Amino acid sequence: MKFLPLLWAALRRKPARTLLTLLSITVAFLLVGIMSGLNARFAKLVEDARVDRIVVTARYGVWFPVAYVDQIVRVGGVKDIAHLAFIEATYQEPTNRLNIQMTDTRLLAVQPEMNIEPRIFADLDRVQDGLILSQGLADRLRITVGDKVPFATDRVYQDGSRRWAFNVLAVVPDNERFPQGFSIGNFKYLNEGRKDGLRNVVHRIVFLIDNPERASAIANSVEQLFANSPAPVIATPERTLIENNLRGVIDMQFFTYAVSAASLFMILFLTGNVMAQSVRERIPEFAVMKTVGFSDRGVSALVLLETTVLCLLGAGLGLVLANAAPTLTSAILPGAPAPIMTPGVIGFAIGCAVLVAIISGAPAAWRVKQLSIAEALAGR
Amino acid sequence: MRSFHQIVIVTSLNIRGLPQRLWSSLVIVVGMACVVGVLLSMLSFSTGLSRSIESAANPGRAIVLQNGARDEFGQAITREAATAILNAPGIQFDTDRRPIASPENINLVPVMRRDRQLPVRMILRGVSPKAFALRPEFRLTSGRMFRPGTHELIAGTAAQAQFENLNIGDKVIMPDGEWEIVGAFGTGGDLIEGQLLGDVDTVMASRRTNGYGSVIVRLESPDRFAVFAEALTANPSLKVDVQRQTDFYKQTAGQFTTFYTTVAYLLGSIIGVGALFGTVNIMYSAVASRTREIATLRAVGYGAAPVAISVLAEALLLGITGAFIGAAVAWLIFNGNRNSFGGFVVFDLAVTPRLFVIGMGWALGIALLGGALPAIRAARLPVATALRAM
Repeated sequence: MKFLPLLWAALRRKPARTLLTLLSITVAFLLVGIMSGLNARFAKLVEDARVDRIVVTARYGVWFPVAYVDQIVRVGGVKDIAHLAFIEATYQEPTNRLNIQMTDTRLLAVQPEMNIEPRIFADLDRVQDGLILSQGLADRLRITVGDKVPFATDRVYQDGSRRWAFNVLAVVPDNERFPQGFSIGNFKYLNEGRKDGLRNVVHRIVFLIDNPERASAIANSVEQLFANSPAPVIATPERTLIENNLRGVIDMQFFTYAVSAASLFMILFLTGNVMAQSVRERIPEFAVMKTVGFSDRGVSALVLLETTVLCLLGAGLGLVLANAAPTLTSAILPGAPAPIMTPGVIGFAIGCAVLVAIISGAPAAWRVKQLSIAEALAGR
Repeated sequence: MRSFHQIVIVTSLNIRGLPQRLWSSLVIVVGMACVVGVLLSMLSFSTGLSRSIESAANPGRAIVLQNGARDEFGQAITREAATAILNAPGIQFDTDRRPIASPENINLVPVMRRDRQLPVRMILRGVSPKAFALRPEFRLTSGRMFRPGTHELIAGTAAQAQFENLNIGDKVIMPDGEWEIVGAFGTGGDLIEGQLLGDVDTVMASRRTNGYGSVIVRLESPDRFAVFAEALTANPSLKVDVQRQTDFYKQTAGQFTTFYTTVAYLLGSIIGVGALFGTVNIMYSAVASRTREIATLRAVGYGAAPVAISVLAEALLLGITGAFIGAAVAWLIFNGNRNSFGGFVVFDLAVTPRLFVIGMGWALGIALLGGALPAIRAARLPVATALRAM
């Protein structure tokens, strides 16, 4: 406890310097927080993905017949099944993006975690141009129930334009499984309204199986089923699919660690330097402390404590900012995955903070430990 | 002139004192190296990606897509429509009196990405006989050309390096059986080099489709584009969009890279702010440690401005040095690394001179911003007090 006033005095000695150092550390840990928070987000995506859910996509090209649904249900072990086609749309601004899943009531059984009332899906079945939006997405687009909204899309509508109008039937609660929100429309609307020469085709068929251990066996038999047809498919367990997607463009793990390492390296130098300088200025003080009975170990502990407090404080502030980051960046990076602050992320940041504190404080701590009272007091 | 002379003297005095402040100076160097290194490494991704895409464009070529399409993946251009397009005015004729134009069809084929053992889908482009007169950058590098009407393909050299089992003699499984790779080609590093090429009619038969995704033509000259485009739009039986190939690929590159460029600048700005605080911090203590020197200079008649400028110059020198190191590290680690956007575009990460300039610009900006307040303090140093403190 006797250290506390000393610590406070040391940090307040040059407030501008302490503040600037703290700000640098905070910024570095903002990056560490975002990066490891993103890693945690990706890990959660993989963890939440089900091994007993199989995703079927076209092996060649993009579309394949919706009629495959009827053949896949007959494969042993297949429980619930649904088909999906996507419409990429923007609303008013090019940054207001959404990816509409055009499907039908069967999606509910295949993706129970969406947690939507069956009644709402039944409504969608009746209204061809109906649309279900998640709360967050509806708020972001400023759309409410009953609105008739025109979207600019990537599909050609029968009038030759790429505008598709939807009738907002329901806004449903957000779901943490879908951090960017979700939107669901009626497959029939797309299938009958499109004018690009394609009919009765989908992007995906998704189904649940009764035994997760047979996932790859069932996936294989589905692939075999259509292997000799004009439109063969790829069937992949959902978890594998997500793991592959995370490595498909950028190796996310390498990327996040590299950026964290760079920012930590930067403050390592800064903090080490600031501490060295601060100790240099306080040599007489340390000599006096040693004279009045502080041990060698005690004074160097005080120096290390000072760096540790500074680093931990910066780490804490950085994580708070990282937690707020998604709301700030959603405008310029719509649809970007949001970092999450799990205990693991917080632990990692604290670990990094302590490590940076020890490494950067060590030379200064060593110096005061070796300090000779007589020489220091003599001003040599 | 006199003040310029003063600036030179004070700055050189300042810089000669740098070794005494070696460690604190290193903070700025390291900080800037981290900022520029991180920024350029991230930008090398989108830069390489868009370079690969945009270098496939030629202002003398135009691309025709189905109405409303943004890419070549569609299959809605019928054979009749393709014939009508080939008969439009403005297209260059070959020595055999046929138009230099290629109706093409894009197909996706599953392959294994070598470096990450990752299943992806790459592009198989069905091309017409004039596709090679259309693309003079095309070179067959080994093996031979595919024969029309057979199940034969040629593979781009970048594709061979990035994906497994695309060597000459290897078989690619297609909906209608095995297709053999009989040759390898290069197109000077553009995105075509990361694809497979085959005879368009045979490829379309394999997919059981009758529609092309695009028709690419060589114009008689770039300024004949309007003539060609007008002829197509005026034809009521054609529902197509015409673009210069340069515009098309610029737009395509934008679709791929905008997100990654934004991420790079966003993260670069964050770490840049960290370095900015560090620079202010270090430059303040540099000014503090030079109090005696600065006060003496002022006392013997040197102006405030040269003193302030010398502080800025120091920050700049350190910042630019760091930026050089950061850019060099980014270049050494990442430049030329082969990567691919899924299986779609094979490209090399690129730390280009343009990125180098951007890195220097950032260092310049951060150093000037970070040096400004300390420079003002140095200029306003009360001479009498400072000297008395000695």
